[in-house]
Amino acid sequence: MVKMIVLAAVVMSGCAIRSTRARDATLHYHPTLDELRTAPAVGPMEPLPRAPLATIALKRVTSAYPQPIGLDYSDDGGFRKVIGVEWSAEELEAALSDALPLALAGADSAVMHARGSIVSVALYRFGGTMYALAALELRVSHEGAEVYAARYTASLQGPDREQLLVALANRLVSQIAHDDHLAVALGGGVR
Amino acid sequence: MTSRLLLATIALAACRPAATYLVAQAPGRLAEADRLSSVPAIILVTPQDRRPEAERGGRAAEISFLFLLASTGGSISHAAGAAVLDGDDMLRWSNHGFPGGDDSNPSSVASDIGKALQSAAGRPIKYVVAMANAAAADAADGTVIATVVLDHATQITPTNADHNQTTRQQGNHQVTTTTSSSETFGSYWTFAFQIELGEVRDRRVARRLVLHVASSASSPTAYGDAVQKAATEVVHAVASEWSKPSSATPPFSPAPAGPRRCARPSGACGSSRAMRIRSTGLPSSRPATGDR
Repeated sequence: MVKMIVLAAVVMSGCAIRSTRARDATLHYHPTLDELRTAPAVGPMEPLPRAPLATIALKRVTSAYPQPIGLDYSDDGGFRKVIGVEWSAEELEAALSDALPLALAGADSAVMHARGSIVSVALYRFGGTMYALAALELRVSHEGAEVYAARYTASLQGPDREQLLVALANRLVSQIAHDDHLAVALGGGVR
Repeated sequence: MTSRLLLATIALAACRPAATYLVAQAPGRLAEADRLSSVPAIILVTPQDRRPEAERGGRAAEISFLFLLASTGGSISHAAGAAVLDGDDMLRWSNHGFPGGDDSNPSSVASDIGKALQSAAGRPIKYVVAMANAAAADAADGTVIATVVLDHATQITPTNADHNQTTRQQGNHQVTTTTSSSETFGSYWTFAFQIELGEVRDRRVARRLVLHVASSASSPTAYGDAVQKAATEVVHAVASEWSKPSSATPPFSPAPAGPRRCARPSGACGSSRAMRIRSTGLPSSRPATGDR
């Protein structure tokens, strides 16, 4: 209907037109769509590295991201319409809660403890493509004193919501397992 | 003329939507509060405001196209996205006594968290206008210093909106017709805080913990939930992690700060990355979760 009105207006009168592709279509606390578009496509799931940081035990992963986490649009052009709201990312939370303790090799005798906080999740659908980004903050403490803190971010795009969120969790865990700064902070590297 | 102006002013004031009053109920005293007996004092210091600009001044949904009809002077526009509430004008808080705080800024949020913390811990909270390190210089060993960081406090309304204005000549008159339509997908309230805790040894912050709290809902009651969560998390963290006194010097020194791999304020510089966060007693330089 809107397209018809616009086309009729164009035909019937001289006019100036400004039409934009979605750029700021994301929520204000997320990157723009242009930035989300730089993410690679989701690929086959890679096995997680089994290179545990043996002295860390994970206390828990908390969800501390602002919601909603995104919007569903009919397409990404000037005539796009919001058709739905993305509210939460349980798949990501569950995958992180499962995979992160394995990467950190939790043990009762561990001398260090880690807290993970999911501080940002962005999930947008434009037509048939979904763009996702997640940020996890890891804080490692020894005797109650924080000795290391880092924020890990991963982004992907693809057609399937669940596959995207699980793959994002795996990417985040993989970054932590390969974080050389973390290994150094633990006292010279323990991997 | 004066009475017309007065009437117009009253009409405008009546049409303006009312500000939302954010209220937080204090939780009851927690059982873990018994383990805080060795803590000489809990001090709440000057809060930090890291809300994105859109949450302070508001933002409309992005206009995805705009036609200006040159021959008739009319216009057609379409917007799709999310509108953000003007938080500085449309939100109101109570203030329970944070010195220097007004009724609509982060000090009011901090005072709500202080009130909830006082109730959850079952002991008085001291408010100090200073940064954590400055407050530590005058504090006894074992004192807990808390800094509230306000990351998000807003209402988001996903919206599609169309606006059509045409102008035509009718005799000696110019007639302008305006039609607008919009559909929304509900309103969502979202609140996110960080609580940076420091434990004092030798007049400086010797141990540090950072807690994240967020709550979202279709009503502003999410604010009260976030405040209660914050107070509960602080009592839990101090009771479980700081119930034993710290040694004078932490046994692990943080690695020297590495280069920030992502300089963009939105934090989106590629598919994956790690960004170090400065740790142990230093003011945090990391961006809030929302930066745009």
